[in-house]
Amino acid sequence: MIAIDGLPVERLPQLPFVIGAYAAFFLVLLLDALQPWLASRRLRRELRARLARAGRREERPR
Amino acid sequence: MKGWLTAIHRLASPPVFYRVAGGLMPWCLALALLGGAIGLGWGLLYAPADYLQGESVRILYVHVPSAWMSLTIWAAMAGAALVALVWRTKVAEVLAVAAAPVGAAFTAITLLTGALWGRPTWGTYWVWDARLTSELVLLFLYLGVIGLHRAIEDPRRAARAASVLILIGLVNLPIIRYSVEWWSTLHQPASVRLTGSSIHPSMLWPLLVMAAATKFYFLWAWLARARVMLLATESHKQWVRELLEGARA
Repeated sequence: MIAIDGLPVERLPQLPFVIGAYAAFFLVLLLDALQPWLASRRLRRELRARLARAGRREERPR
Repeated sequence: MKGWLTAIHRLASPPVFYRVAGGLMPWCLALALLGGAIGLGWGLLYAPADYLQGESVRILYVHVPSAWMSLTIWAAMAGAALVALVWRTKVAEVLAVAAAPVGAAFTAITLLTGALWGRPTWGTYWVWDARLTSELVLLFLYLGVIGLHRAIEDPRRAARAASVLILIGLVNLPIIRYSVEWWSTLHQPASVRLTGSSIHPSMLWPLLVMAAATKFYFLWAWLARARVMLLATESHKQWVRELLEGARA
């Protein structure tokens, strides 16, 4: 491989960089994909608990 | 035309949007996974190595589509932000903000994979080149939108403030796009344009398939996040109560 200044440069092993790039791609997207799923589960649980509390309040004799 | 307008108008209703988005999401995810499998299989196993870059050219099958997505997502957010500010619809406000984490993820991938491509190709992970720096600014803008939205308690005020920032940040898109032409940069100019491409079809096709897959992934992630945000902002409404009771029954 020839550098811009015309001197030969040693070529780095490329496979670790390719593997690293794909690992970064999948890891970031996996974290991104998990986030709304986890948030939805948490929110639904909270809202259901709130709904149940409101239901119990309505059932309670005054 | 009138039919389209009526359909769009109907989609501005949170329960309708929630239901339609829920119906679209599995299709988007399936197309993203199918496109990703084909594009990556093609790019990693069948596409040739580059005569100069060698095997590291395979990084570009994830780097370039991610870079395109980082710009596309901001443009999509700007469209939603404009609608949110002009017509003040809740769905548009949610859509404008919900895309920001996905955009930040793609921008981070662009910077990470670009650095990992740059080291064996340029001999360095990073240079303060106009393209790289403006892309880094885009990441900060995405983080700024997320931070601003979280900092304001009232969700509608938060969405409107974030929408203003999104529209201001739009200035950065032409800077990123034309940085390689306006300044002397280490980053090469665009190889794929609307008018044609300088890439051989054996490398271009897997790239385009990956570009389509990332777009479907974005649609899926965008709708998923928007649905959660809508559920949170509309949590006291009757339709959310019915939805939760229906899911429990």
